[in-house]
Amino acid sequence: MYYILLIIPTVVYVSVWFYNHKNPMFFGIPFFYWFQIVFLVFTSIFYVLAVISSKND
Amino acid sequence: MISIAIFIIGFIIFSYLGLKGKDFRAGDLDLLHEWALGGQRFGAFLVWFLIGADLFTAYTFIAVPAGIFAKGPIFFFAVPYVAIGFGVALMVMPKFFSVSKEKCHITAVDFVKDLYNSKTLAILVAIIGILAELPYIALQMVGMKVVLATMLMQFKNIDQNLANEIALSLAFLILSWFTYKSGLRGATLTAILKDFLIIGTVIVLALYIPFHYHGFHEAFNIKKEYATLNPKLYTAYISLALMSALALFLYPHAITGCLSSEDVKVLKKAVAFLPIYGIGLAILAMFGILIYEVKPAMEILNHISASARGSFVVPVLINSTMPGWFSGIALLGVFIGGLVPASIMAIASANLSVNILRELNLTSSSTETKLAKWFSFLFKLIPLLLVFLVPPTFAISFQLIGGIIILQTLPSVFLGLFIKSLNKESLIIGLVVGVIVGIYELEKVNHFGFITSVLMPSFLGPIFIGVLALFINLIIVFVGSFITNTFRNRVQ
Repeated sequence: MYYILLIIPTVVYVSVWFYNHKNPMFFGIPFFYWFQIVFLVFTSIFYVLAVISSKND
Repeated sequence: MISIAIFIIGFIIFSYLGLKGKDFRAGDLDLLHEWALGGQRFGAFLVWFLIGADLFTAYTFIAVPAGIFAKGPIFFFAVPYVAIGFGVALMVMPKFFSVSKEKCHITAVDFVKDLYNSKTLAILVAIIGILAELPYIALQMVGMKVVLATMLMQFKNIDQNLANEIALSLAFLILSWFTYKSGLRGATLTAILKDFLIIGTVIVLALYIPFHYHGFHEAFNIKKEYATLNPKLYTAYISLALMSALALFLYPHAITGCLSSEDVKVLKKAVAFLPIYGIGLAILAMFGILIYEVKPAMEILNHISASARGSFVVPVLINSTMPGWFSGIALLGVFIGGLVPASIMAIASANLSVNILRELNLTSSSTETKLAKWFSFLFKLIPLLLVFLVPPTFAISFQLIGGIIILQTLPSVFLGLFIKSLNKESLIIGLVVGVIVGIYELEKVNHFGFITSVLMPSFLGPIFIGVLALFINLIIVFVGSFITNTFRNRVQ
């Protein structure tokens, strides 16, 4: 479980075609940029979940 | 003028802190200890802050914005690089940490030497570590130079080329003096000041400029082609992010930083939150595009030669939008943001080279400190020459050149944690061949001239050269280990 949770953000970031769009824009910033910035927060959430799950092992 | 005055006053305070770092040591350690005792949450927070500090170097506020400014979205790979890098760290570092703690290793070189019982391999890993730090130090010097040059621009009647060269020499002298006088302890103390200045600057700029100019609309109108990544560059984007992420914790200074934390649980917790620290990097990267809509900043940039323009993005943006007193503080943040990491990297390299000499029985403990100081001077002189060789907008290439060769130590340092049957001769040959292939390809795609590209063509599309070099390295390691292992079994 630890390694699966750790690998999820990598899989998302590697799937460039999935987020390589102009719209929807936010504050004039294309989706390509703001999605990757926002996903940094989700990356941390996945990593924290991984660390929590490994404590139960 | 006010900005220069504030910059100089700030730098004097900073130098004082750096030089007095040794004297503050006892009190400081007490303080850290108290904080750690204050509760585990605070402990993790401090570790988070300290490892995160490694993230804000000239790479973040000079190289990445310069790349985005010149080439657009491809250089946004720095964001997935940071996100994935800490994932890799969470997979590898806890295991590495436990083994190293148990056997009191301080560097990756100690670890490799112990695991494979090979002097040759240990020395090779140390040499590669030093070589990889050199272009990274060069990048920091580019950052320092750019800040000084930005401030010198106010004087219209002086020759700007000459001013640039004076600025670079000044940056070099200040760095040498600072490292010589304060050592690692001073650097650690000032690293905290550096991060406060930089985080403050990023927040103020990120709040002020986009609101003042009504968002990024205008910038992306001027640079329509920057809105999305050209699909032809998918392979380049992915390979750059993945390989940089794998290289992140192979750098000597990064490994030492991680090993300095007290407890594996605190380390894991801190690293898990580090991608959030990367938001600062992402905002700075966006400034590379935002600057197109800031007319006063663009007017200044247009006076700078095209090959150097990009690396001036953040300093010029600060200088042309902020009041003088704030620019002084912010530019100081960017300046010491290059100075402190360069100093830490030079010391890490110097220590590794003393390790090598010790392995070869060429040194005694009485001469070691003197030698280390000399080496740290040498490891700033070589980057100085590199800075003269490579055009500044491609400052990010500095870090990527180092990335190509440091990646070749991955099988020796990280794979050994998971696979026990690797054979040291195969690791040595893989490492050497990987480095040779990487450097040869790098020279080939740049036609044996200025290094401006780290991408090579492949059947999938353009990829980062590090991929090919690491792939060949890994094949040699696996095939070599398999053959020698079966051969040994037969003999037995």
